[in-house]
Order: sequence, then structure tokens, then C-alpha cells
Amino acid sequence: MLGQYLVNGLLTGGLYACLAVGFALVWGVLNVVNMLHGSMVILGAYVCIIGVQQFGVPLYVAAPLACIALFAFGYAVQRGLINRVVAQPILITLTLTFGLDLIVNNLLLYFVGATPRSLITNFGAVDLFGVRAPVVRIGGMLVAITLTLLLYWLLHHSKLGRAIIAVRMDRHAAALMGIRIPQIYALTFGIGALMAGAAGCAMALIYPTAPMMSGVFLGKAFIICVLGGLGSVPGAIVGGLVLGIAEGAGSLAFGPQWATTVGFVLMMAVIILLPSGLAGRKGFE
Amino acid sequence: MNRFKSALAASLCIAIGASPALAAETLKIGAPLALTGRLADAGQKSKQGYDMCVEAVNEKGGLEVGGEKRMLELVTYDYQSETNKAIEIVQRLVNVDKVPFLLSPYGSGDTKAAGVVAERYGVPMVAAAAATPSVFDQKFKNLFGILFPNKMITEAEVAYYKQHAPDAKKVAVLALNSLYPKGIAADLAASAKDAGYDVVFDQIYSPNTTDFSNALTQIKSLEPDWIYATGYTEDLILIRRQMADLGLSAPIVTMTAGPAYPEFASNVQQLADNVTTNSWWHQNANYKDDFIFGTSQAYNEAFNKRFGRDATYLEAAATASCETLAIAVAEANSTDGDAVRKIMHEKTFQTFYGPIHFGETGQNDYNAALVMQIQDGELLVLAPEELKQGALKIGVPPAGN
Amino acid sequence: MILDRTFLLKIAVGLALFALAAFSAFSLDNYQLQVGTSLAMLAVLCYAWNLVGGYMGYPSLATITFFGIGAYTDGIVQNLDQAIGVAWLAAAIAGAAIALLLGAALLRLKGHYFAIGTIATLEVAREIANNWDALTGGAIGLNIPIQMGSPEFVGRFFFLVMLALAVAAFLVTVVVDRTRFGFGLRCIRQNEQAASMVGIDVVRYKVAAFVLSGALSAAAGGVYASMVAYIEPKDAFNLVKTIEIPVMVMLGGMGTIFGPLIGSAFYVVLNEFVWANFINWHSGILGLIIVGVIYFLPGGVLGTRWPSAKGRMPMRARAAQPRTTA
Repeated sequence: MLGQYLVNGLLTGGLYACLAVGFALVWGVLNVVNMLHGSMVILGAYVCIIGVQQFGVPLYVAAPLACIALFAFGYAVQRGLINRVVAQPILITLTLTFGLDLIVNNLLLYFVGATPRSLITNFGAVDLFGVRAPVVRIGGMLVAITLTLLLYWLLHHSKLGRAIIAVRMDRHAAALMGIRIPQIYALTFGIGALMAGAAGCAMALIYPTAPMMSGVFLGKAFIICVLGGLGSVPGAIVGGLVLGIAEGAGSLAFGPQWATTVGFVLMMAVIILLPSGLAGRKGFE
Repeated sequence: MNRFKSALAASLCIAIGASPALAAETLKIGAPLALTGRLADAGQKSKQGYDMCVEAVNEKGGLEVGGEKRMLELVTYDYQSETNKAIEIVQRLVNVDKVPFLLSPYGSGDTKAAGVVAERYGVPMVAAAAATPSVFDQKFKNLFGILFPNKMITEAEVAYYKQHAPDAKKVAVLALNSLYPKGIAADLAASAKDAGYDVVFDQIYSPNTTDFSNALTQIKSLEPDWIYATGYTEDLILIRRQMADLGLSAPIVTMTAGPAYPEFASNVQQLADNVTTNSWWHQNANYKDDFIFGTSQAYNEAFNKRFGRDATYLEAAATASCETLAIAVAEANSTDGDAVRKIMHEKTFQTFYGPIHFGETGQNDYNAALVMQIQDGELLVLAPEELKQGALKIGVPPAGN
Repeated sequence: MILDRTFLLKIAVGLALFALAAFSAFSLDNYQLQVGTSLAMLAVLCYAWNLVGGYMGYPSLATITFFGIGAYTDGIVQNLDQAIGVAWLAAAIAGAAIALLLGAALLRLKGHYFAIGTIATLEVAREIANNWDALTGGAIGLNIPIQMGSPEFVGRFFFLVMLALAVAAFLVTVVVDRTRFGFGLRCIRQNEQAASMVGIDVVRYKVAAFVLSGALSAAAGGVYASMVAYIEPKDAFNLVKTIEIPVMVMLGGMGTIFGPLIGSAFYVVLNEFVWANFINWHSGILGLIIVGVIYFLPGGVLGTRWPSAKGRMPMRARAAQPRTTA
């Protein structure tokens, strides 16, 4: 039984991590709390759902399409809108992305409606010594880890990645070194959106998707980033897994009505006692 | 300062100017709708139900009031699923749009808060989607509820399963921590205990829960014969899927009210099979209605023609809430609040929705509870006996395939 | 208190506006009174936020936490058969007390950390209200004795009470703006370490501002609860509102004595106009307006930019500036 609880927590945590990676990247590099993130996940989910259900595209084609679409969307939003105020205090960028979120969510509601939809796949579940793990959730976890590793590799082994890191460490110096900051910002935001798109496709396989889910997803991303260290990309994985297990443990210890509260209490405790997060990695700031 | 003054002036202009010109002959009914926000889906369905009533009444030439033919006009605003906004909109409907009658917001909590305002103004308000008796516990004179109390549903269910699945002993209850699901779950647990069931798990989960695996693992270890889950449809979809993920099955799996809506089945597909639910209404309980539509089935056909799918209890109750108002106005031959209220309190309305009698608290006390089950993708009535379309099938598929 | 002629004039204009609003209570219809009451309530919340977010520069998202605590305190006290005024006072005290406790822990954080820490208080408070059935009624909600009287009387009564609270919040802001306290808060906003070096007791100043803000927000919550006569957790602790409040102050101008008033009025007027006319598109249009304001009125309607030194630079130059700790 304990094994099952642990696996439950880890698999849910994997999905949570998947949600948070893009959010953490944007936060870390741009110092922007992207309130639009939840709606971008939903947008990605709908690109997948509509691609598969209305156009009969197979999932392995629809998912990359969603990633590309979201990258373009994110790049455009950053280039056209956020870049112009990116150096302002967080309240400004937070408010701006909040406004954008209202717009995107309203558009979603209008065009896809409020009735939940999902991609039905039946991959079944793996059963090992009486512990069951649904394949689709294992997949979600693998997607999160793969994306994070890819991102990590990209950041550390490519010219673009090094530029992003340079900007993240010291934008001023990076600009003097000839790095085109707005371009790097737009690319980073684009990658963050791409991650949201990928997460959206994974979510569409697991959750019934509706525009009003965006707030829930955003809330999870928030907690995870704090737990993992603000803006730290590998921290998002740690934070996601910790949250998954903590919520599960909270549900058992205090009853399911306290499960989500445990996440927030943990977040407050971490932020007050360990501001650089459980992973101990100093993110931005 | 100039800017400020003009802003103030603008605010007054808008507040005054936004009221549409009074059309002399229409009879206005105000309806705050949850078109966006958390309750958007249900809010949009309620609107469809209201439109059915308004269109049907107007098609037959409107209502005869004081020698004049009055057409119905629905005055709607979106309250964004926010209680404080709902209150403000009720104020607006009463004061600016001068509606003599109201239909309530969707949620039980929102209905209750809006009911306070309606009571203050003495404007009759009919609630289509509040079944929890606590909404009506203040005995407002102006608040009427179409759905009969939860307890009638849970007692009908317990009695049915007691008879048709006599081997079932242990019940597990999982409910969303929100006014309506929490209320009906408490009633179910109480009804089950009274009938001799052993309630082995009785928990509530918080709104925005995204994972039920541990609660369900716990339930699995208790090996219940009957699992009862209630909450938002999205939650129930996730619970049903996670049950399959964990290989959790039980002879009886009941969910409220999700399976009554077509999107439940479309989001879980074959996992929907043999899930039971309950309902306040189904077109097969073919009631007669002399005012509009003729019968329940005719209503459903009309609904299907208009919106391309079957009506559920939600839309039917919305249509009926507007219909009772219309009947009461026609009978009172007046739009006076007192006259209409008197009829509302005393009359038993014979509608396609079934008989409606607003009792002492204002909540419909005519019991017509239905026990239903999804079998091979079809939602069938199991009880009461006279409407029965199928027999109870025991056991839900433990996993997707 | 440092008062020059311009400032005295400003105070006079402010008070005259409030007086005008109070007199208009007798000619407005009930719906206008309702909108006016909402506006006054938002103004109180904006003034409360402005003390912490505007003057002190701490991006608090806890305003509605205190509002909700005030609402529940009011409901609970009124249900103990206490007079409505006692309930409101209790609400303000409860808000102040909780702000004192939370402030001691949270005000050590800065920037993002502070914003997130405060928003978590809202989630936690809502779930506590949702689960503590014996005290709050849980998800079933809390009935509060309904204020007797005709709709006109009740409407006017709550409008005037809320307006009085707004006047109080305005006066508190005036005092803060013109005294050593406000000066200290501004110093903290500019540079906390420097402030402490010039002899400002930073911790006490910050906590004092937070407590003041908490008390005002909670008082507004108390009056709101008495007015609606029924509260439930999701209404009392509303996540969207806690984000909207700073937006409103930004619209008006942060750290000023008229900013919160103008911002809330602007927001309410736009909101009224938008949702009454665009039933399917109001949130999108509201979003467009927010985005528009950020680009075209970056310092709010009053034009004071924040932080003042950087805000005056043109956009392009600003983008090249090193990031502030926000």
C-alpha cells in the first residue's frame, strides 16, 4: 500500500513538473511572473485535441504542432508586448500578463466553449507487485524529464543557451557583450510557451480540458517554482515531485479536503524558511 | 482634477444611459447568468433552458395579462460565476431594468446570496439549480426552488440499491467541499446508515483538486460495494479515470450529477458503462403539460431540434422555472408581485418537468426522483418502476480495456 | 505634518468630493447606490493596498485575505447577537491582529517572494474557512442577520457606511503621506538598507503599515458581509479580486493620495460599461484595457511613475537598464 501511495505521488508530481518547467524558465530568465502560463497550457491542450479530433492528425504529429504553434505565439507575445515593459517592476509585468490572460481565456471560452473535452487514449496501466502505474502518467513524467534535460542541455551546450544564461546572470553585461537582449527574451519566452504547449498535450490525455482549468494549472506552477527555487529549471522537477508527494500525504493524513492546502502551507513555509527553495539552487534574484 | 470629474460624470452617464428603453408590452424576466468563470458550462446550459421557455411562450402569442398580450423578454447579464457580481446584477435587474420577476443564478451559494436581495425588494425569484435545503432555510417569501430536496433523491437511491443489490454492505462517499455536493453527500451517508449500510469512507475533497489517486487507493483498500462520488463533472471524469488507473471497481458506482450530462460519457467513453446516477428529470418520465410543449418528450424533441442534443434535468429545470412564473402570471392575470407570489405558493403546477409545488420553504416538495444508469453508452431510467427502461447492471469495468 | 497650500487644497478637494457623494446618496436610485457602495468598498481596499504596495513598495496580494477575515469576523460576531457596529469593530481588530502575525513572518521577504507569500495566505485562509465548519459554516456558508428596512433605506445605509470608511481610508493616507511615517515608508521603498541606516526602524514601520492596511481591508469586509447577509469562502476570499486591487491602484497612480480613488473609479466605470454592453466579451475587453493602460498610461492616470527615478526614462532606455529587485 505504501508503495502505491508513493507511486501515486511521484506520477502526479511528474505531471506537475511538466506544468511548471516553462513557467520556471520564463521566471528565471525574464524575471516575469507569467500569469498567462495556465492559459498557454490550455491552448496547447486544445491544439492537440482539435488536431486529433477534428482533423484526424495522429497525436505524435499534433503534439509537435502544438509546440510549434505555442512557440510562435510566445515569441510574438514577448516580442510585441512584454519586451516593452520587461524591465519594469514585477507588478507591471504581472498585471500585463494578467490582462493578456483575460484576453486569451475569453477567446478560448468563445471559440471552444466551456464544456470539458479530452483526448481519449487507452494505454492501460503497468502492474508491478500490486503497485499500479498508468502508462499515460508515466509518459507525462517522462515528457517532463526529457524536456527539462533537453532544456538543460540547450542552456549549457548551445550558443543560444549560453546567451540566455548570460542574460540571466547579468543583462547589462550581456548587452555590452553584443547579445541582443530583446531577441533572447523573445526566444526564451517562446521556449517557455513551447513547454506549456507540450505540457498541454500531456494534460489533454489525463484531465478533461476546459478554459477554466487555467487558473488551477497556474496555481500549481506557482507552488512548484517556489518549492524548487524561484526560476530554477531543474528545481521545477524537484518541486513538482515534492508537491505531488506532499499533496498525497496530506490527503492521507488530514483527509482529501486539506490536500491542496498542504501545498500552499508548504509553499509558505519554504518561502519564509528556505527562500532559495528545497533544491537549494539559487534561481534568479 | 478635470479628468476625475469627467470620470465621475461618465460613471453617472453610463449608469443611467445603459438602461434600455422600456418596451411597453413585453414582460421582463431578469436572469443573472454564469456565462464565464468556473460555472460557465452550467450557466450556458441554463440559458438554453430559459430560451426554450421564452420562445415557446412567445410562439403561442405570449401571456394574456389584464386583457393585453404580453411577450416574454429575458434580460440577462453575465455574473462571471462571482457571488458579489451576482448580487450587483440582481440589483441592476430590479432597479435599472425594472424586472418584476427573477430567475436565480446557477450555484446554490449564489442563489442564496441573490435570494437575500430578491427578498429585500419583494421580487419573486425562481431557482432552477439549487437542491440543497440549506439554501431555503431562511424561509424567504420570494425564493422558489424547482429541484426537490436532495434527501428525496438519496432515499430513492438507497431504497433502490437495497432492493436490487441486496449483497452490498459497505459504502464509500467522496464529495466536493462545496455547498451542493457536500449537502447531498451528507444526506446520502445518513440515508445509507439508516438503511443499514456500513459507511466505510466518508470524505470531502477541496475545490481545484487535481489528483484523487491516494483517496481512491484508500477506498480500494476498504473494498466497498458501493462508491458514491459527487462534484463538478470534470472532477467526476477524473475520478472515474483514476479509478480505472488504479484498478478500482465496485458492484455499484454512483456519480452525481456528471453522468446525467452527455460530456461525462464523451470524456470517459467505455468507462462510463454501468455508472449509475440520479436525476430530477428525464424525458421518459413523460408528464403532460397543457401550457407549453405538451409533454416531456415533446419538450425534449423541441430542445433537440433547437440545440442538437437531448435536454438534461438542468435545462429542463431552467425551462420549468421560467414556465412556473409564466403560468402564475397568466393565472393571476397580473404582474403584481403579491398576486403572483400567492399563486406560486399555493398552486401545484402540472408541467412537462413534472408536478411542481413550492412548499412552505419555497422548495418544490413533489418527489419524482429517478435512479439512472449508463448502459452501453445510453442513459437509462432504472427507477421508479413505472418508468423503468432497464434493470440494474452490477459492476463497472475495472480498467479501460 | 508638513502641509503646504497645494496639499491643503488637495485635501479640501478630496473631502468635497466625498461630501458630494454623501449628498448624492439621497438622489441616486438603488442600483446606483449599489454601484456606489462597490466603488467605495474598492476605494477602501485600494487605499489599504496603497499603504503597503504604493508607499512602501511591497507588492502585497493579501488585501483580500484581510477582507475575508473581516467578513467572517463580522458574520460570526453578528451571529452572537452583537450590534452591527461591534461586529465591524471586531472585524477591523481581527484584521489588524492577523496582519500583525502574518506581517512579522512575511515582511522579511521581498519582491516576488513577498508577493507569493501573501497570495498563499489567501488560499490557506479560504481553505480554513471552507473546512472549519463549526466556526464558519464551511462550504455551506454563513447566514448573517439581514438588515431590516426598505431597500432604499438599506441601500443608502450601506452606501454611507462604506463611504465613511473610504473617507477614513483617505484621511489615513493623507496623514501617512505627510508625516515621518510616510517618509519612512518611501525610504523603505527606495532602499531599505539606507533607510535603516538613517535611523528608521524598518521592521516596525513595515509591520505598522501592514497592520493599518489589514485593519482597513477587514473593516471593508465586515461591512460587505453585513450588506450581503450571506458569505461563503469562495466569495469572501476571492483570488481574482486580490489581483485586481493592485491593478486598480496602478491605473490611478501608486503612492499618491488620489491614485486609489481614481483607479477604483476608473475600473468600476469601465467594468460597468463593459459587462453591461458586451455580455460575451467583457473579460477580454477588460484585459485589453489593462494592457492598454500599461502602455499608454504607464504611471497611472495621475502620471506619477513608479519607481520615480527610472520611470521618467523613455521606454527604449529603460529596457536597457539593469533589472531592479522589483
